[in-house]
Amino acid sequence: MKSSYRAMPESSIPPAGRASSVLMGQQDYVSVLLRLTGMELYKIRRRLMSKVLTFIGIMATVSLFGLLALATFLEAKSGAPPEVLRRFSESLRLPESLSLITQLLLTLGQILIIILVSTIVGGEYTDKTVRLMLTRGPTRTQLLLSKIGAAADAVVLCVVGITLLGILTGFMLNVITGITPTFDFFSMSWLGHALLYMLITMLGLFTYAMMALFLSTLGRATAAGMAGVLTWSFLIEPAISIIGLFGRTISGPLGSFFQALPAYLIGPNISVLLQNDSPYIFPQSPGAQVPQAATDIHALLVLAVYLVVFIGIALWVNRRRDVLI
Amino acid sequence: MADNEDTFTYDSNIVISTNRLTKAFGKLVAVNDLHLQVMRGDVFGFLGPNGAGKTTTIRMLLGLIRPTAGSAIIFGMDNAYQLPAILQRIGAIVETPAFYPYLSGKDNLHAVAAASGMVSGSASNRRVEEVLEIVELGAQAEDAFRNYSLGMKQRLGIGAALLADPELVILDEPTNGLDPAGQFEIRQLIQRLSTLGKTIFISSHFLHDIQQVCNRVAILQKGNLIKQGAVNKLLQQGEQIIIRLNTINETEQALTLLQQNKEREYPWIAQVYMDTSKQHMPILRVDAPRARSAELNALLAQHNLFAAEIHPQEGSLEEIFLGLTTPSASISPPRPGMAALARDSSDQQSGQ
Repeated sequence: MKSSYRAMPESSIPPAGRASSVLMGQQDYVSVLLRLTGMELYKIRRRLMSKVLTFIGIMATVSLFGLLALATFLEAKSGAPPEVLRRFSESLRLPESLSLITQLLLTLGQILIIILVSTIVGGEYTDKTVRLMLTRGPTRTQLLLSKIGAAADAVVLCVVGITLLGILTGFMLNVITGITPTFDFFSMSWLGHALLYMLITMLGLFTYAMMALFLSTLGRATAAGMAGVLTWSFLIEPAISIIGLFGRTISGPLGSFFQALPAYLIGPNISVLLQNDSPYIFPQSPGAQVPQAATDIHALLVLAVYLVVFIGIALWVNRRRDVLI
Repeated sequence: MADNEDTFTYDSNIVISTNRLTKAFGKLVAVNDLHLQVMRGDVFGFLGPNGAGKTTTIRMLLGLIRPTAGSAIIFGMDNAYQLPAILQRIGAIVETPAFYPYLSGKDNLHAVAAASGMVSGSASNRRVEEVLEIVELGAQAEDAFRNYSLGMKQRLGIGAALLADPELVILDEPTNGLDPAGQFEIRQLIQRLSTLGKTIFISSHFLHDIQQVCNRVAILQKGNLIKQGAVNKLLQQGEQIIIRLNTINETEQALTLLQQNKEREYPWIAQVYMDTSKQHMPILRVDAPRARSAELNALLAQHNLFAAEIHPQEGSLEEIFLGLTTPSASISPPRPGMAALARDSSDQQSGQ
């Protein structure tokens, strides 16, 4: 029950001065938001967990390319013809290495980002620091937006970092194969599409990160975010995709419904966007047609709806609820 | 409405004013129809037994929970509509201070500084170090918060509350977990802050601390405000004069004398009774202002009764608190001064 509005006096009590050692920054909405996002990144940098996740990401990337290089080396030793070796080791070199990097990002990278985002949101409730932060001045919306900003920064850093590391590692390990890399594919158009490919990957990771933020906010715990998103992306989505395949064997509206379900999941729509961009990045053998599963607009709309729902509900719940811890 | 100490008129010296502030969690009414008033410069003690609604009230003032009804006006602004502007002028700790366990004390204060709107960099560093010295955590500044003792955590919480040099400091159980030396230092700090013109709102179980530092108090019980007023006035109502005579016979004669004459000649005597609880020789307890000791002594002497010992006793906040909040007073026999206070408060409650 909301209190009835009480008429305010014309002027509230004017603020007293602060000690000279207290220097206040700009208090407009954007400055506060930027300051809070900076604080979130500061906390992430200081966490041991962030360093561990970064280490895992680096080791996984280097190991993956290392294993590939090792396999090529062993193939070469066993006397495989050069053409076989070239195809075998394609993923060590651009442009194919981008595909391998993207797969790594959308599997392991996704898990690492989910862990990070669940922790920075759910941890405020677990450690009870939410009441510390909510009594400092910024609004609840600003605090949650700062976490979204930090999550976006983490996604960008993760994708850019792993991509550069992967390309560099693959390039260096390619020396073992003895195959000279070619850059015939390279053009400004290719570069643009490659950047778009990375942006799509970032969008995919960000969408799952927002699901983690949403579930951690709702559940007021790190575990809620982690368990929820991991279950969704590694259990529920594949299950629904299988149901979609199963729908082909059923005639009538039910079959159509099952077949249509995967088109409204996050993972399949990310795959659609990547697939639609891949002909411009990866060389196609002459005559091969890549069937277009769905349009980019459909995929982007579906992802946009997920983002609006996750972020919108998280903001609304965060704003409304009582903080009793 | 609670105590009739002041009429509730709005003026710019009122820092906190609550109007029928209520919070219900389903059927449980945690805070009921609260009218609080905290003046600028007050060191205001907020007392009550466990579960009285003190922390719920503080959470409502800080916007952590929404009131079911009523409003809270802080610095002349309604916290339902202007909370960010209000919070920038407040420093607060709510219950046990909670910080990021993986950050050091210093890094935690940097995080708080950023959230409080302070500029980062050397200016923030200077202020953080200053505050760490104030709360005597300079030596442990680089240690992770998870390794802090309860007392150190409490100090860091107070440091965070003081970081942006706020006008209003709200402290929920600030001496919890501190040893006597630490409690003494916090009392001194509070007194120092008061001399700097800060308004301080303290919720505490340590009544001795409250009595030492606060000038006004409010007492809450089961969500209802049962007493609000100046500490010195409350203590005056609890004043007594203790008289010890030489024999039991003389004590009984003195008791009869004072009881017979109190209404006619000595209306400032509220009640007289014999206390047999403590020593082998009973004593007389006279509910009267301390300043009347000499008159009492003269009265007894006129009737050839000579006191072996006569001394005034100040009322204590603990006795007042217990008298108001427990079903039966813990001292035996009950002190009528306390009974009068309790009667006042129950009259006020039934009159609400």
